[in-house]
Amino acid sequence: MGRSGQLLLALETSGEQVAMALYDGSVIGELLYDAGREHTATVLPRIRELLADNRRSIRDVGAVAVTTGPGSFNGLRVGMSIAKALSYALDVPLLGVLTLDALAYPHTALGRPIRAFVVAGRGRVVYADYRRQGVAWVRDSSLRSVRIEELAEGLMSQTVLAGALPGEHEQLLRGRPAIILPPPSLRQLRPAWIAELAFHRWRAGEADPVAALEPIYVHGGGAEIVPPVQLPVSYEVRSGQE
Amino acid sequence: MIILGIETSCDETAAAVVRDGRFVLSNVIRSQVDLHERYGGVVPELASRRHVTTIVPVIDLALEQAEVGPSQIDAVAVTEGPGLAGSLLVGVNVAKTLAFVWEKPLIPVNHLEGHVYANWLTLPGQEEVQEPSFPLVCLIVSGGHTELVLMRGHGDYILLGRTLDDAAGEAFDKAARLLGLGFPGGPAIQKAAERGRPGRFSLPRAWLGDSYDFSFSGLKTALLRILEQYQRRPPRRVTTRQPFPEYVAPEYGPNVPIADLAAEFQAAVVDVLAEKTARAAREFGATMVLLAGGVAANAALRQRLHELSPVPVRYPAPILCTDNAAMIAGAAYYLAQRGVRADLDLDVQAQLPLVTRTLIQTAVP
Ligand SMILES: [Zn+2]
Repeated sequence: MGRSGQLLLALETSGEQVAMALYDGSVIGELLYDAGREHTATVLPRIRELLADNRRSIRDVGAVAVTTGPGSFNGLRVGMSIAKALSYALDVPLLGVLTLDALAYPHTALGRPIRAFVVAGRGRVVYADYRRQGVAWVRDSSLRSVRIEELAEGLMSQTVLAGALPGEHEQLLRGRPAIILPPPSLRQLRPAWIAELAFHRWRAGEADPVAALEPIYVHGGGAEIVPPVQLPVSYEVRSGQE
Repeated sequence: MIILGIETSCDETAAAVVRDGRFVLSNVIRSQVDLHERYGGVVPELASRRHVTTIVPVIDLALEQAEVGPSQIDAVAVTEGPGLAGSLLVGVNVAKTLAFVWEKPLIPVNHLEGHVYANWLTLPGQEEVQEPSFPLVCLIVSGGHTELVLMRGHGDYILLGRTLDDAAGEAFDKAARLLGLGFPGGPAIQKAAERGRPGRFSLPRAWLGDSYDFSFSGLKTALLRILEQYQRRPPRRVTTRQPFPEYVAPEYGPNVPIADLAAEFQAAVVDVLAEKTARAAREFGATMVLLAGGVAANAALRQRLHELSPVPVRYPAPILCTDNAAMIAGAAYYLAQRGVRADLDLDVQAQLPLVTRTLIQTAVP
């Protein structure tokens, strides 16, 4: 793929792990680091670094993707502020990606229902469910906030749990019969997953409004209604091989 | 030198373009009063949410109204603190990004210093404001701050006194809530006070001896004691709009003297502010007194200071008293002259005091 006009910068700042990627149909560079709570001080210097390390200039960026949450409210606002200002100053499209969609995306190939989740603090998680509809993968229309212990409750068929839990709670999940647990490295949000989802939307001519795009704020005990979404197919499986 | 200023420290989203620290080319302010009214005060979480959706259109409008493009901007200035962390971070991250993409110097500005420098600004179409002369005494009064400062030159501040508890504007807000006058409190109390008579009730003035410090919490408590005699139902918080409880004003009987109490409350706040400011002007040989911050728009405060001050009293136009970005771009010009710059690792400073970075001498002469 050519360099001009194809380059997408993806940014995820909703948790302590900050993720960013440069993507143009394939991964050019990725950065994942533990920012603690130092998002404002560290994210822009790291973007500058990622570009320089990959011999790119900020002016090469043709689209900006940012995660809309759920996650830390202030963390999300750092990414959202930077992404909006980039989109405005560069005059390029802005694309929001739900963190849960990016977490679910690599697991669709297993052909099982997926429950993607993020830890929300105060012993809670926010999750969304993904089901197969024909050849497509569709997200339910609501994000739910529950106590960590309730994360796997009510699961009927074997379901992929996509997301990372604090150590002691991992044990809690392992014994459950209805759960498929991918390896930890596949349950941690990777920068390229966000970039790839956004790239699909960008190439399809989609974009989000720069002023109005907002993080999704899910409060403890609440549920947030979001439009259902269809994920792009992560693995191409030709008919007859299934 | 043309500077784009950005300010998001509390509940106003603002951007402005200012030339040479003196001439306002544009000054766009999006107030959030409508959003916070029902809560009886600023809800920090809601404030930062609103900044996220307002900031880009506000900046775009500021550039458009100033008729400048990014190529004509010489620097980007932003409020780094003090203020609400979740609000500050929106402006700081946006400003850093613009400076990065447009390859402009980034200038961090103390919000309080911005308020002071509002006194250097001339609005479009107005007669040129004369530059203030040093040394001067500046009283910065707003919902977040009450600071009395001796300024001997650009960036040379000596803190003479500050509030030990509530800020003056905060005291007005709390009193307005008790009186059932709405939010923001300053203008509401000023309006109610016009119909009232100070002195019918007696509220305390906290002089704190010879100190230039202030205290307003006792005043609020004294007001509460008087009002309790008239109360039918105390003020309360109700949780109708999750997850932020709304404020419901107290209910009073028919004979509650709201106007007289508002007048006495305002007089008590203004007496102490004006008296201490005038005394500081005498003691330190100031050539003028400056007012800054939202409460500087209060007519009673201006009036009382004119009566007491030995030297001329100056204050910015009302639109420059409230939180705005022109004052940030204005202050940034003088900071840039002294080589103040920030890199992309600039962080928000929610508790930033006025004197850390800019203090040259600590001893009071
Ligand atoms: Zn202010």
